Amino acid sequence: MNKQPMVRAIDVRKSYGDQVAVNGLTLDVPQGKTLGLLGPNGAGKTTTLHMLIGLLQPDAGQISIAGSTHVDSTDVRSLVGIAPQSLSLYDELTAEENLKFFGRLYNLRGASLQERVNWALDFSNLQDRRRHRVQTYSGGMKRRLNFACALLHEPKLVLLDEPTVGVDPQSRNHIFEGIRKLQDAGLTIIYTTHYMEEAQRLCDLVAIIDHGKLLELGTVPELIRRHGGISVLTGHCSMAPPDSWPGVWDGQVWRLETATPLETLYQHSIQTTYFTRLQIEQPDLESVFLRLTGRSLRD
Amino acid sequence: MGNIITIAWKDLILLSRDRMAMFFLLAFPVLMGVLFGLMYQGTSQPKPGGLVVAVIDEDQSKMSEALINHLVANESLKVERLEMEAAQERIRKGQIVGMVVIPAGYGATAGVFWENDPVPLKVGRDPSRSAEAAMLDGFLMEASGKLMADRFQDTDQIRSLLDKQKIALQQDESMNPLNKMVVGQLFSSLDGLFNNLDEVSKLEDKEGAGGNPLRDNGFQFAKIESFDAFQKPTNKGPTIRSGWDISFPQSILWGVMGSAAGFAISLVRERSRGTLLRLQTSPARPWQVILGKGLGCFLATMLVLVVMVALGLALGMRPQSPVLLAGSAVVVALCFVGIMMAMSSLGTTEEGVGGAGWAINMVMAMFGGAMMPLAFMPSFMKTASDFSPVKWAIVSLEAAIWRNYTLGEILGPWAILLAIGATGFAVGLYFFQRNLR
Repeated sequence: MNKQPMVRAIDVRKSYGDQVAVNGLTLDVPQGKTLGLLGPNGAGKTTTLHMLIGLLQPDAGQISIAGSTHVDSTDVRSLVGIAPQSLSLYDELTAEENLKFFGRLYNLRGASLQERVNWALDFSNLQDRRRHRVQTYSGGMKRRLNFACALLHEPKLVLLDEPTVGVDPQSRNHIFEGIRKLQDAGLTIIYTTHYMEEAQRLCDLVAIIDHGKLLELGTVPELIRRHGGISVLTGHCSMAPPDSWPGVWDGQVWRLETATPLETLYQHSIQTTYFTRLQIEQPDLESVFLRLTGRSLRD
Repeated sequence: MGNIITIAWKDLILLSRDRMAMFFLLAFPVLMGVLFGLMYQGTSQPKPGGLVVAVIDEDQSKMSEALINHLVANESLKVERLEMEAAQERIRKGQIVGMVVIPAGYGATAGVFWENDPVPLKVGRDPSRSAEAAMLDGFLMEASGKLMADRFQDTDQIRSLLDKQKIALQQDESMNPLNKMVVGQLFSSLDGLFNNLDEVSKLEDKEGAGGNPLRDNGFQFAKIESFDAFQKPTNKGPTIRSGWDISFPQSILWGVMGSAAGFAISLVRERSRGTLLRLQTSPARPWQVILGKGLGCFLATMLVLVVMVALGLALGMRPQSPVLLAGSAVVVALCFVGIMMAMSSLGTTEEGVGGAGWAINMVMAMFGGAMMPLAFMPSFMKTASDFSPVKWAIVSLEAAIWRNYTLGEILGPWAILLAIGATGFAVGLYFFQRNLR
């Protein structure tokens, strides 16, 4: 098995004048894994992505993709597909014309180009609109086509920058399905998003960045375990609970903080029917993020 | 090369789907060409009745009638006999250039070259049409010259005037005796001339070929003939064959400028809509992106040139040298590709580049002769026009269409255009790559 990471960044730094955008970023993205890149606005996510695809040169440090440090070389660029946050499409062209244009830039020609265009139209569920100009599409359709354009040349690494911004739930689910297919096919994905539930649902690894620094990197359960805190059990009842029960009762609500809520309920023989309402608040990525950065992701 | 062609082809498709851009690329130059062409239709041949002028004959003499007939015979004039008030009204409304009043007594002195106090013609002019009024003055001088010739052809009348003048001379005591002697000798000489003419006339009458030798030999004080200043002895046929020869080079430039401005905006649009990021992250190199844009602009500009030349040919334009015209078209297109690149670096938004691009186009067009022919410009504008690529583009096209330049002569304008294009391309490329970083 090839252990070489698809993406490796070692002590990467980038500044714009006095402003430090990326400050000593070091991370590996193993092949076939999906990395969620989370950070508030201005955290350095876009700068990081642009350095990964060779649009920006780091001031210091080293980036390699599939073992090559020449990230702006033609060979490496052929391995990478990007779906930018802004819809990078020609509105005056049809979906098919857009796909053919971008495909030709990746040296696809003739039957292989047509085959990949058909695949991309199927993937984005736009076969029946293939000859309609993009300017007539809904936001979700454009977003799906934007995604498909990144996959046309069968890249090994896909960068998805906020791929679900401004789309309807149906298109969002369609994009999620697409990402699942890519994961099943063994592609490496770097995914930036403002939606924690998306990162929690789709990403094998999550990197939390703020002020240009990598604050934490790990799987979602690892991050929650390390930084999420403990769960909180809250029960509404009209009578005081038995003294044998742990926790506190304020006259109306019983509350218990525990790392293992279900086990605690079982161990203390707590009858759930005693409560008119029982709620378990488990820590999630949002609480991890809040704890690490001191602010919400959408700040 | 594949990426360059791919990008150029895509841009041409985008262009073809932009109705406004297509209007400025093709329809606008055609309109300009037809408009200017119609204006210049009189360039190759005089236009009959171009100047409309009123004549008020207060003299009603033989000579005033002769003057009017000479004016009527002038193909460049359309003469209307009007009353004073009607003529004034027509001038006020801008319907005629001016009016000529022939005062009472005019006929007595008209065409008498020794008359030192002739009755003057009075000319009223439309102040806003001074150039045409000056032409009218010229036509009046021409007609007055013909009156003088008329006087010499009617020897009886001129002798009668001469006799009167001789008596007046003898009675004039105020004149210096020396001057009186000189003028007297002139009159005697003229007497002798007219006597000789009479003798010749009588002799020819006897032989059955009577007449006045001055009149019969078509005596004229001066004769003016037009010739084609551009015609070289080795060439055949006229050089400017229609007004389209002159109007189309100017009009073509409007399409060329439209193409440059449109592509300059398209380069910025790639950035604003995010497609530049896709191009940058594709295997296409930045120089391929730029050359692709340049090729698209070049092909669109060539399309304008071909369509306009084809239209010009259909309307009667006949280029003197199709080979040089093709060369000029290529050079002009290359120059404006460079200008397009420079324009694209003028701003970071479509609005900024579009506004600045058209502002620069307007200045280049104004000083370069695309709005107003260079011949009509004040001297400082003519000097400034040397810095406008539009001027050199028009000169290059005109050189091939009607100026009869040789290859050696046209190389100068071509070199200037290529230098401007190369400079523009370098500037644009520098800023494009700088903005990528």
